[in-house]
Amino acid sequence: MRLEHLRRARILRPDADDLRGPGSRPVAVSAETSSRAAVARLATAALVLSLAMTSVSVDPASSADSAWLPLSAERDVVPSDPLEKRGQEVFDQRCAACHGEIPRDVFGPRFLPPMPGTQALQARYRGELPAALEARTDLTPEFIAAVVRDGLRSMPFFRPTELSDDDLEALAAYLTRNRNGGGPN
Amino acid sequence: MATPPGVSPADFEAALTQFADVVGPQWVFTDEDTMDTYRDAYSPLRGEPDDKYASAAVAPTSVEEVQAIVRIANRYSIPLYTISTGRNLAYGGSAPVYSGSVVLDLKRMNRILEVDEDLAYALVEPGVSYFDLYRYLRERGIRLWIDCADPGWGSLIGNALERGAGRTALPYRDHFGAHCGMEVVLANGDVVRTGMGALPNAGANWQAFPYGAGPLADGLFAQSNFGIVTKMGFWLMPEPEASMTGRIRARRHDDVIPLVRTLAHLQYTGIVNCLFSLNSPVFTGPMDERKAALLDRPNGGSAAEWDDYARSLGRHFWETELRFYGPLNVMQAQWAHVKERLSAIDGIELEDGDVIRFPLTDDQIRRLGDPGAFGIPSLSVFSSQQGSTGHLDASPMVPHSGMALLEAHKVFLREYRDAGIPLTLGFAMSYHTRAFIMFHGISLTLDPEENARARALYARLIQVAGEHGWGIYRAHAAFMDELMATYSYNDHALMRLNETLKDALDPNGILSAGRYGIWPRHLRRARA
Repeated sequence: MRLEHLRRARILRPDADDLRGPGSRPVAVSAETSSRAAVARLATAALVLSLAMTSVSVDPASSADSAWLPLSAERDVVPSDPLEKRGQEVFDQRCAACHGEIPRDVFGPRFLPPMPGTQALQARYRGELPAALEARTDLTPEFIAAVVRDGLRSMPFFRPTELSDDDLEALAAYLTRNRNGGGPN
Repeated sequence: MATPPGVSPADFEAALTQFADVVGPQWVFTDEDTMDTYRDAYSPLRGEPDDKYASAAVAPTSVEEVQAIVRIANRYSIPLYTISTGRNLAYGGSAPVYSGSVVLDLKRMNRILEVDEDLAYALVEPGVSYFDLYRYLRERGIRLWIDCADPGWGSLIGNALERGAGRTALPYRDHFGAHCGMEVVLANGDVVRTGMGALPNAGANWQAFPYGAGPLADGLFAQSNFGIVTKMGFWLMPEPEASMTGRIRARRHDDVIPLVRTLAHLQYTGIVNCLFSLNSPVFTGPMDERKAALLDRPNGGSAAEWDDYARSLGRHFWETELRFYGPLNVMQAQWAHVKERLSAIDGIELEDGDVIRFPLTDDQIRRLGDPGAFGIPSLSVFSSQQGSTGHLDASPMVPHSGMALLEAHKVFLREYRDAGIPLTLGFAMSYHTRAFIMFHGISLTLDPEENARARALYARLIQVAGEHGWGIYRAHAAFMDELMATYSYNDHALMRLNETLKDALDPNGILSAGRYGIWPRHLRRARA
């Protein structure tokens, strides 16, 4: 029983070993530290994808009406691949409120810094990697799945009723679109 | 697959099959990976055997489906645990109080059923988030504001039922106080509408007059487990012409007494209707040896001793900001009156702040530094979480009294000092009409030993707050029994009433066992 809980704790926090509290040296988290469960999930998703081709979910948990943004995102560049295009929408609807671009010129009174996800990655990587997720070229689908479903530090995890497995698959396709050969865009 | 305690695998399997018949098999979750997403992302018990877990989850889309689910749950005595958007982070997230429960996930019930611009209200389902309603209004050019909790992905209904609050004007920022009318599915599957909603032809009156006739039932369904709220009406504020601020700084320890008395009376007369957050840079600053010693002086240190300490730090003792909403000339008159009244406090600093005019452009909204002050949802509040893996929020209620605030600061600071944990936040916010929420946040980590210390402090704060009559208004799911035990007048008469209601309304105990200390009869333990 005890072992079961430890295993679960491991799944909940893929970086359980590399965060040693305040003052610890930031350690880049790679796909190798992600949980086996998430890898298995992606393998299943890949299988489903291979059978279903690039079909887009008919009942997405993430939708334009349920976006976690006050205004619709403005996009100059939209991927031509339908899965990546859907992934960009999921990113806007579910990720951009924390992982979007930090506004340069803040309007009005200040409370807490906007874009907590981008701020956190800026503090963590200190320029060694881009703070904006969309500019990353090192992310793997497995790692993205692990972070979304297991959470990471102060980022909570997300349920399938908020972000479905189809949404996750599309998001992973979008955030890894530049992985092979592309630089930050 | 885990099975709910006391339920046979065969009965559980039968119930899950019937749940799937109601909602579709893709909306019944039992696999271990998905069930981990129904844990508490900010659990103070992370990685420990007592961490709360669910056995399954079921996600309906309609009231009829909710009715069908509770009937099945009654048939097989399945414990359900209801969540709206499941984002009650720092208070338990989407995890059940009673481990092994089946989470009834209402996120898919996300319809905005009605918005009346003239009567300024919205009627929504539990899965509607602040972002959802804000976008709905903005996209349709409806000039009504919402008042949002700081994390914009939260549910209007879930937050109101937790008696959460936002940061615009009264009465809107008291989210339970600004609701009008509910629809509730009872444990037996019956559907009830409260207030004027009980009139078959109430129409807009459901959201216009909260009381109807007879006992007002609404309060029974907040912070409880007597029913499942499937609709709620909320009053919305017509967009003001502008907003302006005035900043206030007071030098001395005792200045808070006339400062609070004056601001409170201005609030009670409607001249100030904005949130004011009283912060003491002296009390909330880092603990040092002198401060630690002062807290052990008689009455936690005299005004003169604290003033001397504040001078040594070069800090003023109190600061706050008033944010008015309304026509510019009215706000200028309100602020002028506040300045006149407060000028009686020797050395007080009163500074005019910024003016923001509405409506905001899209570009302004994208660049806003404090969206919540204008009822615009965001997730910026998570910037306060850097370096932690979650937190526990303690939220004692302190009446609008400077004397009480002084005592509360010293009492709570002593607890943090003794626990060796730094006080974060710790300021008093006037969310409600006549009392402050004095927020404290206790950081959590991945280290079980550190989390055990955080839990011990949290339990102690519940106890100490209760002893002083500053009861905490909302607790993390792991501490609801401890919290409710402090509301013990006349040998726990309030909990006896709650249990009588529970037994009458939910005899099989299927709804959210343990929520706010209310357990069904078969799980009830003897009170100490």
